[in-house]
Amino acid sequence: MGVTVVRSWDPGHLPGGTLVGGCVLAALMAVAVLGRSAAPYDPDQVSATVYQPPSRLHLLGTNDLGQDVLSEVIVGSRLSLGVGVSVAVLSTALSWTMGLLSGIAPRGGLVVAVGDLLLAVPALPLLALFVAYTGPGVLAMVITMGVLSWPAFARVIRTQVLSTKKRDYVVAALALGAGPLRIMVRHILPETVPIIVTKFVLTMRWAVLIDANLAFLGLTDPGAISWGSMLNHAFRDPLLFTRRAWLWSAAPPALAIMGVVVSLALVGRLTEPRETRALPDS
Amino acid sequence: MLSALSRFFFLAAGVVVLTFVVPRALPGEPIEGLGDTGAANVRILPEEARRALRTYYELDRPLIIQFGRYLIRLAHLDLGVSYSLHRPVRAIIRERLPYTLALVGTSLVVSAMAGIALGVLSAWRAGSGLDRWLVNGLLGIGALPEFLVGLILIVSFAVSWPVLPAGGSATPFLSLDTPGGVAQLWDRFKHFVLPLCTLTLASLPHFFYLTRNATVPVLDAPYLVAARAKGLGERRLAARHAAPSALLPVVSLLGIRIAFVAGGALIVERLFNYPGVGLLMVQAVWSRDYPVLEGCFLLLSLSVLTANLCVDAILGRVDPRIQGAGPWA
Repeated sequence: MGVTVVRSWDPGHLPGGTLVGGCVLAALMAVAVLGRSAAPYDPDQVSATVYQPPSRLHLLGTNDLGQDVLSEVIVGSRLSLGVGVSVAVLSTALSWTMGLLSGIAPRGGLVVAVGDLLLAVPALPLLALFVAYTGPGVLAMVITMGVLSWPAFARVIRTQVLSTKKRDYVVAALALGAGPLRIMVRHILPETVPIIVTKFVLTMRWAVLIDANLAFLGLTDPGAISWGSMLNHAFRDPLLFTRRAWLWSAAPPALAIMGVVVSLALVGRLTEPRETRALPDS
Repeated sequence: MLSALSRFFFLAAGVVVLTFVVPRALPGEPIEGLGDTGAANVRILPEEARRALRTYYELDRPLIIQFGRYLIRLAHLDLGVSYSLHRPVRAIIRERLPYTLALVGTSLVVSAMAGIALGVLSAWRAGSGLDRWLVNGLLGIGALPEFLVGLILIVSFAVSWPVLPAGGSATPFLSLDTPGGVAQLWDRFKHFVLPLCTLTLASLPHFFYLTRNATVPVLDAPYLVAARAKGLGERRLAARHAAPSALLPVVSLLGIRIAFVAGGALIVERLFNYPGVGLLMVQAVWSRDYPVLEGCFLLLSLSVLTANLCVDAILGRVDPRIQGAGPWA
């Protein structure tokens, strides 16, 4: 049976949705990199009267403290996307290491057992328990989320390593006298790269979502501006929906989160093998 | 069944150990929350008081003795006393549990059933306009976080077209105006609808996709052709012959989703101010009420593990080829 090779990055075969998703993501990333210098006002400062509707001076209006919402969204993108990227990097690195180790080391099942525990426990309550002790700092949050999200893909990688180990070419390399390190780096590692790309995209999406969720629950640093903390701030007002102001105090950060999450889902479809599409997050 | 059972005990022991280790391994101390009232963590306890508190809560004892006492208390279902509410944690949780159970349980059942129904419908008309709308629409909804779905529902059904309440579990003081069961029950139901829909919409797409993708491949299967040749109606074909092929993956998905729905309860209850265990847990983090926090965590995790064990047992019944293996074989 032949293997069909589909070159995923061939721009001629890019589905429209993926292209749109990629563009939205790139634009938001650019905004996040520019950060404060792209914001028309200082989001920490009061720049107008409270609850101003959108106008030419304040494109998205002002919030309950008179801060410019557009500036908040722009500055908040840095933290929201930054957390997403850093968690994805940390979690992917952990997954990769743990997966490779457990596939090669003699007692690899132990890693799987620890991972199982983290997988079986509901993620949000577990995060809430951790955050309650570590405090709401960004660094603690990133580390906690990274450390709690590696098991699912470590398992996938372990399976891949275990099956690659038995392939003829690895056995041949072994017979030719290649050391374990060489076999791992040259023969087994490349097989896991496509999985890693998928893992990165999925985890970034998961991290942006969870960060927004945690901020919405009021478990992150309320002083740091992020989309989630904007939402949380808006929802602290019990009369939020009695005024039209929710349209520009709650909707913009919500839409921004939605944009990132949907874009990542669209980009992720490109990297995911068809079989795993129905898999849960992280 | 044996391996599933041993797995359950291993994981349950893990959860119990985790609940003991996390407070002691991470920076920050369990007694930290005692000094403040919850709003601002500015009051700092004098060293004298700290030492007294540590002795009172036996935090200065050797770890092994602490662990032993923790296990003994747990065996008596003693979860301690809440720092902020000054009542036993068990009593507080017992008050809140019915709300969360109703929410999570109903949402799982509804999302699985609606997901299966829509999935079979979509697969039956694979490639049609309806199929495309369902697939893309549910992909969109599935990509959204719960609080956004809830936000959209609140805006649609409580703000723009105010037919349902935006939060809470009952209209305050309703029982005083209208004593009597039906009106109150109806009021409670109205408060239940939006949280339920939010939680359900978060899970429904997963069930939908799985059912659709499991049903499409059997559409041309010889046994379906044979059943059709016998003269069976399309509805019966779909319900009795095609849909059961999706049963196995759907039941395993049920096991996976339970953990997500339990986590989603935190979000949904906070969004709708619904007084369940999820809201209790969030409030416990806010007020640094560690006994309540740990009690909620233990309860949620152990319930999820138990539910998974049940799913395993069901899987064995649904497909006798699986013997005690379940989705983790």
